[in-house]
Amino acid sequence: MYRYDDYDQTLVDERVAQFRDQTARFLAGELSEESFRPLRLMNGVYLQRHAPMLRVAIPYGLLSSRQMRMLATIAERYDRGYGHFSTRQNIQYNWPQLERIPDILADLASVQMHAIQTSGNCIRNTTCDHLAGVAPDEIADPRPYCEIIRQWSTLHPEFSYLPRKFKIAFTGASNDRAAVAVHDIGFYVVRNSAGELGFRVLVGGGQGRTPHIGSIIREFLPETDLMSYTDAILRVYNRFGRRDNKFKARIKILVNALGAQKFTELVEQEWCDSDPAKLALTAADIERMRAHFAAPNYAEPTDDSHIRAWYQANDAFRRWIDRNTVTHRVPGYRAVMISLKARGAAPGDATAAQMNLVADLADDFGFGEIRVTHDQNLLLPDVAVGDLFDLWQRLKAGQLATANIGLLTDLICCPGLDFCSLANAGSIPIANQINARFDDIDYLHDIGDVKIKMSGCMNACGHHHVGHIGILGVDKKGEEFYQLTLGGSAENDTALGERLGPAIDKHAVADAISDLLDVYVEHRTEDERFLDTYRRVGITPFKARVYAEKPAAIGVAAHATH
Amino acid sequence: MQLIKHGRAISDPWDRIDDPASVPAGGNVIVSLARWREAAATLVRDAARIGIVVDAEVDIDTLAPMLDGLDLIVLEFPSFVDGRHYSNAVRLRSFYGFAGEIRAAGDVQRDQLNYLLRCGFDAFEVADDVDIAEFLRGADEFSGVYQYALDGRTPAYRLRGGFM
Repeated sequence: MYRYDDYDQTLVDERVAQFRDQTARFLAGELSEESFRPLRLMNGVYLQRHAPMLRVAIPYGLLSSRQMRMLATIAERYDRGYGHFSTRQNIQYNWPQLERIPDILADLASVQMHAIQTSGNCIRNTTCDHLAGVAPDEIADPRPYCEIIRQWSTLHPEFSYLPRKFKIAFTGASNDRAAVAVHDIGFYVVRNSAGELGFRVLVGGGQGRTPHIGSIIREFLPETDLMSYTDAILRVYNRFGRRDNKFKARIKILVNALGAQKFTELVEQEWCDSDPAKLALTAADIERMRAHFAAPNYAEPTDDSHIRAWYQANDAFRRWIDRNTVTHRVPGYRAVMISLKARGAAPGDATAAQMNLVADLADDFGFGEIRVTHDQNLLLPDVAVGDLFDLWQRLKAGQLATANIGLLTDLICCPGLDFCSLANAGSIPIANQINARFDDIDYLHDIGDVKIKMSGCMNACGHHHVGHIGILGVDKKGEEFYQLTLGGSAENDTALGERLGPAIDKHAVADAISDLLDVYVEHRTEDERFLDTYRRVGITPFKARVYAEKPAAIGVAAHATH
Repeated sequence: MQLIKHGRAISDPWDRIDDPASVPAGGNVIVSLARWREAAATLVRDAARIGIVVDAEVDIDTLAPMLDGLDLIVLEFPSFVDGRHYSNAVRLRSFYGFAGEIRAAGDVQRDQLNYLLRCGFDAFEVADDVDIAEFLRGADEFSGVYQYALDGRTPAYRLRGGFM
């Protein structure tokens, strides 16, 4: 993974000093809240419902075991012993004190981490495929490009006061696991007919209250032009993006208003007008960055007959292997997902003890590396097949072996009303309701792949638009209701979900999901996923079942029965 | 109002005027973009040097035909969070080759000074009660940079390659 040199370390250290000074001036009354607000946001500090919230950047979801231990230390030293991994592959702490945040940033800097640009109207943390570098379907490893963009966008003098936040995602694989099409810029690594590497470039994707799938503005951008072309896109956005209404300020609104073709012309013109040669990446620049992500020294496959035997003999182990491990490009290895969706835990939360355990496991069963997935789980990228049973047992001991990756209970959710000052409704209580209702592991495995994604407000931090089942919390006269959507997807077949019908009472969400699953089971053909059945039969049967007259399933009347 | 240029406070050699007919002969005058559009001929005849004030709403490309007659462009920030003028300054300097003064006015604060300098601004109007030494500290909080801009500094990725 990328290791800081003196340039990086100095910049991060100086950033800590700068924020320490800004915080001191704010606390001394020399800097107004209005002036301090954008500055603290650009260091990931929100003032939330109970306390400040600090969002720490995990660049493209990549962590070393040492960094993970520091995240655990911070959780214990400054917070309440846990952290929340977010859908943007970052971690959030919900209970730090503002006065101590400069110290937290200094601790982070000691392990080459920071909170730079994790919020604010600037270029945010770049995200990417959590299987980067280990996926069998990869054209090229996207992480060197992510790091190039991370550095280029860090403290960018021209693009730090954009109309709105700006999110960039990469994938280097043929299967999109990073929801690339719903980012402000999405880069798909491709090869042209001459075999050269470059990118298909999408602009104007996004979620929030007006979800859009990005428009392709370049079928092939040579890798040398990555920075100069991104620069041109950002300049067009910075100049012409709307600033009169924050709900219409994302680049998707500009692309939509101009039309993709006109927007593309503006970008191409700006690109010609600027000096693309000056920002061109040389082959040496790219190679130097690639060297940071060189493959580790994989061992030759060893005898794994004992793993095969356990796989046959132990149902729980077999379920875990089938659900939580995926094929690795190197024979004899698997990538292992660690579910942060155990029953009773808030999705994406990990305790300090769990973080330390994962760090130890990354050292003992890998090369000291951990990934955060955009589904709010963790991943050990390089586990030798022969070690899988030992790893599973240690995960079980840490309550980290829940075999539900991709299943109904592996749901994505934002912090919601419990923590977030923007939320209209709770997310975590609904996640708990769903988890409690669907706790029959055989049933869950029978239902198979269903992605439930839930947001506590229109900002869509929980990606509800692209859930197979999306859940959006809404406030109706002080009561929490939930709007369901069906048929969304964040993968290659990216689609935005369709609204099922009127919002549902908070006590009836699990009932409604149960209805949806019943309809699926009745209509599915063999091996057909929920999403595919939905696409084949349409929304009508699902709608009819959920909104059918039945005793106390929907509406306020449901209170009495729960 | 205090004016900061070349790292210190200076007395402003320019006068902001509203009425193009009142230009002191041989004066350096700053007028609004609207006044300049109305009375360019008079201003060119009477003033030694001319500057204009440009709002964030203005499409900077519409100034292109008139840049030759200008020595100063004031980019007025309605709020420091409105970042359009960063790109306007970059476009003025790097695409149009504007070599006159680009002055930041309006909501200009110390915490943005570094970025303003890097985008080609070379003069800053701040309120009378601003501590100049304190303000200027905003210019050197960072010793290195990650990207090319208009301050001539070489970014880290090029220094790593041994580029001089």
